[in-house]
Amino acid sequence: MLRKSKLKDIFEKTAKEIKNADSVSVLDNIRFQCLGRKKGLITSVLRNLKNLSIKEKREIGPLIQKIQKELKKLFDEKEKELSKKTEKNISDITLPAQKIQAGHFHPLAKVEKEIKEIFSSMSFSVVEGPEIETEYNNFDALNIPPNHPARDMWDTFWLKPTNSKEQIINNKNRKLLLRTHTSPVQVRYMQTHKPPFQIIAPGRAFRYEATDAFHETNFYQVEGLMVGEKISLANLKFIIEEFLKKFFDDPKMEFRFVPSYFPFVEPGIQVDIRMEKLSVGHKLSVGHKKSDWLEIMGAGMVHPNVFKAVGYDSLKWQGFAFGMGLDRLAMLKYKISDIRLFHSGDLRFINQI
Amino acid sequence: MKFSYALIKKMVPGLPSIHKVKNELYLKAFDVESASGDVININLPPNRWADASSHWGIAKELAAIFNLKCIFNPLKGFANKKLKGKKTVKVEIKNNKLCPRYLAFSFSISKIGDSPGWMQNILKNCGLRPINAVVDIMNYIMLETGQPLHAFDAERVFKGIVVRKAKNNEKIVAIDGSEFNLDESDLVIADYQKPLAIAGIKGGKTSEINVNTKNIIVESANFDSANIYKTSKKIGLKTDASLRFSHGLSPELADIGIKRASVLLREICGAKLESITDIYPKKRPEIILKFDLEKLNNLIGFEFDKKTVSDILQRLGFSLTSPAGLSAGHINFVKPPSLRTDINIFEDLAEEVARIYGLNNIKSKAPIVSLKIAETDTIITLKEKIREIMVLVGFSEVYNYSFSEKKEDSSIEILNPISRDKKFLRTSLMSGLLKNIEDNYRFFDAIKIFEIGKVFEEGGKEYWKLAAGIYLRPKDDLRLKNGLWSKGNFKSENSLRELKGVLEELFNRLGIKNFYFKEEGEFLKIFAGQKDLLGNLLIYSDKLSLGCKSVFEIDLEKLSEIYKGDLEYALISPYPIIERDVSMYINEKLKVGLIFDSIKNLGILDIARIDIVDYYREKEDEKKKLSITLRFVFQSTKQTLSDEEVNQKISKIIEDLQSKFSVIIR
Repeated sequence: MLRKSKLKDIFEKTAKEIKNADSVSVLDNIRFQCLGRKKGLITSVLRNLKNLSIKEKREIGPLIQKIQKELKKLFDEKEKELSKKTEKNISDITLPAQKIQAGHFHPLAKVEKEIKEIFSSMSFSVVEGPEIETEYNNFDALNIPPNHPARDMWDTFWLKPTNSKEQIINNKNRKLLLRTHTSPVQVRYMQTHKPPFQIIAPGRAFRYEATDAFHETNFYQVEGLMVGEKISLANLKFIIEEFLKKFFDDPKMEFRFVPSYFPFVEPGIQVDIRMEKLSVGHKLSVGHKKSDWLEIMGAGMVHPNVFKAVGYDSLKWQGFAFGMGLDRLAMLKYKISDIRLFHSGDLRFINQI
Repeated sequence: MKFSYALIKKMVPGLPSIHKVKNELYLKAFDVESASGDVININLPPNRWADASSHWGIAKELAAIFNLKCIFNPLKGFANKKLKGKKTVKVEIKNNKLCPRYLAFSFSISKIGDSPGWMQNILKNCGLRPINAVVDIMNYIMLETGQPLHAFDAERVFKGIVVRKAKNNEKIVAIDGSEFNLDESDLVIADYQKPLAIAGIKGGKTSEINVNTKNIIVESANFDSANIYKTSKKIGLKTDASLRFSHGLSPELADIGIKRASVLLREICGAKLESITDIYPKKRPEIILKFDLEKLNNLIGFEFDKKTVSDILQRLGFSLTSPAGLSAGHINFVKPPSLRTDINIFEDLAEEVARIYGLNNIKSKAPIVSLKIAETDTIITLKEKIREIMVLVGFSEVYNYSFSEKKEDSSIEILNPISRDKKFLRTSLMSGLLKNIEDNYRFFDAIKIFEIGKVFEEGGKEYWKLAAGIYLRPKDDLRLKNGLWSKGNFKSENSLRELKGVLEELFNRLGIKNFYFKEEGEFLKIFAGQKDLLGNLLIYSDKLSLGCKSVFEIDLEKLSEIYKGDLEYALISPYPIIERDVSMYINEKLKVGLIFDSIKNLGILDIARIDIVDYYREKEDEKKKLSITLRFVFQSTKQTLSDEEVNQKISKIIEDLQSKFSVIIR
């Protein structure tokens, strides 16, 4: 029984090799030598089985099966043992993290994007307007009379006129300024579109004033405008409440609507909010000494004089407008304590989130 | 503006505590800054100075809010009996538009002493300094009724009062001794010799009353608000009077104020009213508004009933034409109180009703509109997309000021800059980014930033730009040699190459295929589309910080014109890749870009990619040569390439480079 003893030799030799294998790749090689489909030792014995007598077949067949089974078991056990060893060699999982060099959005861009998404979900279109405005669009068309203290509510950067003919023709000789609010976008949009519609207009605005932790010369606003035949103050409340609840992710937010004055709306209101996450004594409520309520935006029903200025029939159309400070929203949301950080370019700030 | 709670409470008996008053006032009328002790500090909106810049005004407002009665009557005790004896004060108004009404009452007084303690307390609480009984009464009446008054020493007024425009360069010395230079746009109160006061702003020294004054003329007038505003701004003088006149007062108030003054002058100083002059040629037209309940309910989005509405309006002192009040759907007429100059249109009435009813009592309602798809301009979408790509490739976003210190040819100058380094509008985002990089040097070895912002150009033009900056610094202490870093992996070109890679990735992801770079002086110009110049790329080496920075700026308005947003995937070739590295020496002046262009022009098929895997300078003594290694990656989409085919292609390339640039293959 040559074959029988040969099989035994193969088994013993292989078993020994398995025992001595010191890596998974060595083990794989042994497995290949022994059980490989083309040239494996056991495989070749199996292949020659057809030349044997029935008696021999009966004897050797089960033996081969037994050896195969046995070897497979040895391979598996060894593999388990080896891979355990390898894992242990590779890692100390308590090593500290390696800092990933990733890009970061500006917090104001993040907030702007979020606001756009919320309003888009309520079917508001997003539009923009220029940062250089005419005195007319920034003030007169918005019912802010010249030589009236109401205009002092907006401290303005004026631009030096050039002798360029173009400017004189295009702007009807009106003075140019850096827009003090995003409200002139209302005027521009209405001059070129017919109601009904609903829009928001985010963007940069400018204020001539000394900077401190809560005041900046460059700041951001989001303007909103919705006009239709029956758009009401109650609708305004609804849209603002939905937006703020979603933005601050606080369905239990409390609202307070109080009278306010902006020449381009009538009635004019101010929106205050209160929520648990921004509780009493929050540092961001500076300039706001009335309890834990936070002034968050100005709003109101579009003044008929604004409709008249853009050529709308003020008897037919009514609508609301609102404006809010993006910087302030970002400061509240991300607990940023100094507005000047926004224009600092300081990556220790930007790269935080 | 400061108010005495005690005085208001005297006018409105039954008023609740100062804190309750503060809260309700805030919720229904005005922004209340603070309330402590006897003082309530209110931020009056510009449209309510006419009626509410006084204790009486606030009292009426509070009476309406709390549904109480304001019992103060400023005309009480004034007997309009016929005056005989001395002749009246002569008053001549040269410009009725700038001075719609002028009242002058003359009084004789035996002795001017101090004002009573209660009056001094109220003056002090409201931030005014007691002076003498007459002056204090003038000020007190302003606080009480809102009408500014002025008392002249009658003996020092020559012949009568003239309200006229100032002469150019006319000088006047105010009561406090300061001198003002006026011109023809300013209004003065004068006599027939000299100016007596800057109208509506400040009294003059020459006619000031003193303790020995025996005859006074009290002025109570109404002036054009815009004119007072302009003069006050120009001469840089804001007074309690000028602030009130600037906001616009009703001419009706002038009469009320001076009559109330007469009563107090008699009671406190024993002054005798000698004469009355009232010039009021053109009475202010009464305002009567149509009122429509349905329109109100439409505007507010609430179902008010007529009883509630008429009750609120009446509490605020509005008179309604029909004694039965308002009936639904029918137009009624409403007349606002004469001092409420802010009420001019229907919407003003709507505000009164809504706020007194309580804005928080109006339930919010979802608008009902037909569904329309929200739209966004291309440039807005593009900016958002670019922002995401830039962050994805590892850049952080910064915002810089729109201002700049530097003047360029096309700069717009700011008339009233906030500081010297912010005198112009920026014409580029690049300098801002370079500054950001410097500011961050200390904290990072690698800085990658970008900004999306507006730049400005003469003629009021503005454009959206994208700029990105990168700064890299070797971690080991390396020395700069011959303009190149010679040791380690760090090369000064790294920042430039990465930035070019960013642009490629950006254009790729935006679906912009036909872009290319062109060297022009120190710039690398960036082109795309129909040869549109999109912007520039620049490299700076920074010997100081041993680092190297690059910046680019591209025009987003132009990019948005060629941007379509169409992207498509290509088939992946199933055939293998063959790589060949070719190392060569090249003349140090030779630009690698030319080598790449030349290879491209050969039009050899199946070159999937060419990379530069090595780029360095040999030691100085070896003829200053540059050594480069190019890696060619070949792959066909149709078949497996054979070694022979690839060798032929490589030979063709080498021959070309040898003949054109005399490169030496290593």
